[in-house]
Amino acid sequence: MTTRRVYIQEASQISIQEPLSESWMKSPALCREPFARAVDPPFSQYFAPNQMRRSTAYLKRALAVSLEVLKRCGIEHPDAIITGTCFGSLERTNGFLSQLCSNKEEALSPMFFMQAIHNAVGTSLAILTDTKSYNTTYSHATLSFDAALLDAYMQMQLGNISNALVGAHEETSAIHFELFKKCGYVGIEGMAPYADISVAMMLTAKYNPQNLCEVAGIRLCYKPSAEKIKELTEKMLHVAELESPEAVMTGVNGNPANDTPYLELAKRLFKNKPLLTYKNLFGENFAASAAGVYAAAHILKKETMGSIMVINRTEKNELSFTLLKRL
Amino acid sequence: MREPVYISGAGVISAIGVGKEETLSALLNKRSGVGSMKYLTSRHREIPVGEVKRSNDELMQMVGIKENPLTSRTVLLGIVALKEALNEANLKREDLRGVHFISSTIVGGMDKRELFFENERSCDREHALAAVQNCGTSTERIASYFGPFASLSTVSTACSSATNALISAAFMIESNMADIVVAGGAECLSIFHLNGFNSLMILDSRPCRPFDKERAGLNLGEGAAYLVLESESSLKRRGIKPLCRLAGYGNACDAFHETASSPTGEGAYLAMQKALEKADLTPKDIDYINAHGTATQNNDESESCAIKRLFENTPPPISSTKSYTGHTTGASGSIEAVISLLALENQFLPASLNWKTPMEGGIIPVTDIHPKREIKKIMSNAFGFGGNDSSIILSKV
Repeated sequence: MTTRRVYIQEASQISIQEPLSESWMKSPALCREPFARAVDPPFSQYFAPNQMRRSTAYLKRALAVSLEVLKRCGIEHPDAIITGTCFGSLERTNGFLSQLCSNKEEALSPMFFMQAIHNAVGTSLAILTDTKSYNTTYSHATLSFDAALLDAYMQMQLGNISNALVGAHEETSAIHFELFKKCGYVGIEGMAPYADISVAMMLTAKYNPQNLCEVAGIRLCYKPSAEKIKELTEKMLHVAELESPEAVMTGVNGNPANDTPYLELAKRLFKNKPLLTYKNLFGENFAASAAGVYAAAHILKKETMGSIMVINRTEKNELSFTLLKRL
Repeated sequence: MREPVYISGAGVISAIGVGKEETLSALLNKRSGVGSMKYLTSRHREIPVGEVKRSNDELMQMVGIKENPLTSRTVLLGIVALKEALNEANLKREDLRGVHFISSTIVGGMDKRELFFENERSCDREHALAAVQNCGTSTERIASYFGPFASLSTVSTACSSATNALISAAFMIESNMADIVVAGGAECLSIFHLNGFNSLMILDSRPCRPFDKERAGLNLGEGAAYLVLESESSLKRRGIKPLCRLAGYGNACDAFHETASSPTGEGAYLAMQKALEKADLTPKDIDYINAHGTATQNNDESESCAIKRLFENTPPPISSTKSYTGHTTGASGSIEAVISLLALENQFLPASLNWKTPMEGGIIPVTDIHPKREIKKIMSNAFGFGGNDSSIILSKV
């Protein structure tokens, strides 16, 4: 099968950086707190007051960033809405659990349950935009976004769709910050903050010089051997007609337990290539890899770099490789 | 060229049995697995459920793993079903490097977290790991029991999750991203899930009655099922005879309401229509529909309307096997795909149970297991909250 070209037309974010903006490229907000909340845009321009009351900050961020991308692209109904979220709404899940305990399984809020379900963002978006096309949600730990991106990429290869709104959304919770700290995931001295991250991007099969970059390939793998990784990345580069990526974007976050495998991998695969990081800017959370692809796409658009390999890794040694190319 | 997608193995566990054989026997003998709550420790003992008739200890013994705060019942059910599916497809540990795994679940390991939620703030690291487990954790733990799969992924689209996992797997085969993908879902009963559905007031206090005028809601169930999807070239290379073909699939969004389906079943209609289109079939080619048929007022009305719109006045035999298994939510799509596969392999109609009175404008489900014509093509529906609607078509080979 011949490879069809896939592009990122637009991409935006709501995080600890200035929302819905790329001002982080010139004047990044610096955060030294171990736990940071997103800088929210004024939501009232996106929602009616009654929607505002019922929605959590998580849902509002996810919908606002998605609506912003749709608006910038001038697309009302995308061919697909593909969402990645590991936890869905933590506020609603923890809220429902609290009610279960305190009310002894009586008088519970159905709204908490409904909004705790992981596909709430994807389907709310469909309802809000009256989009009846393909709609799915991946919830695969820190690879949730990567799985969503892979879905869009494969469907474009198959010619099923010609554009897709792909997003990843994760919120923070005080309860989870303490739990994650115990697990050694966040809160380590000197590491990126645990932060809210909402990213949306429009993938398109249509070439346009305004597009941010090309998605030249994406692969996911589980506990791969060194040879397997080599074979897989070489194949991706070959298809993209590249010898090697010009830079490597990794999920290094300042926590040695997280960083060491990334650094070893980058050194082994792409020796002497500059390493880019994004978690220092956007923080750590399960949707972070979406911020990595978002940042790489904008870097390719605005700087003279030719290609970036974005590497994402889970603690169980699942890996994803996303190869982005300058137009 | 799209690669055709075949099914070369399947495994299942639900309230009506462990494995395909027990499942088949229950269906042929019209034996429901819905009954009184035995293993779930909810205060709502009065609510009937479709429990897998094994305790966690028995399940752990079956698969040979020890108690651990992370060992959710979802993982145990998933392992049992996946084992059967891999066996049937003759896939061994050394083959897994070339096999991708996509699982689905809605609340994954919540059965573990809810047990100590009140003491979570002071819990140790091991319990903190259990508290932060997510849908992907279930997938990884099921996978790691077997060995090094090529890649993992997890779908979570409420009650259509497992069908969407199958569709995602089909993309991988069709786009040459993979030769073999095992896909499906696993979901155990949890206090969280039971109370969630109860808060929506859609649980029947009696065994559920899909498509009946007097229907009063669903029964929650639990279970897991996986199907091995394989490309033609891989089947040839491995010398494996396929069980059937995944001829078509469709995914659409109702885009109507967070939990309710539109009265006309627009999403359901579009999903079924897309599946037919993909399979290059017309409505009259379908020999049986395994409906989503939850037995809620809303679903059965909306699904009936969608089926009647698409199949006009001559729909094929239709039934809902949720009257056997209960609604197994995140696993229902794949459990019902295996039930459809059994119907195809054994030429019978999984008859609806507890149906007495037709509902106004509703479809009339089959209650006789004997088909009037050969069953060659089966459509299986799964619809989720928010209108995540999906439909697949299995075809005899």
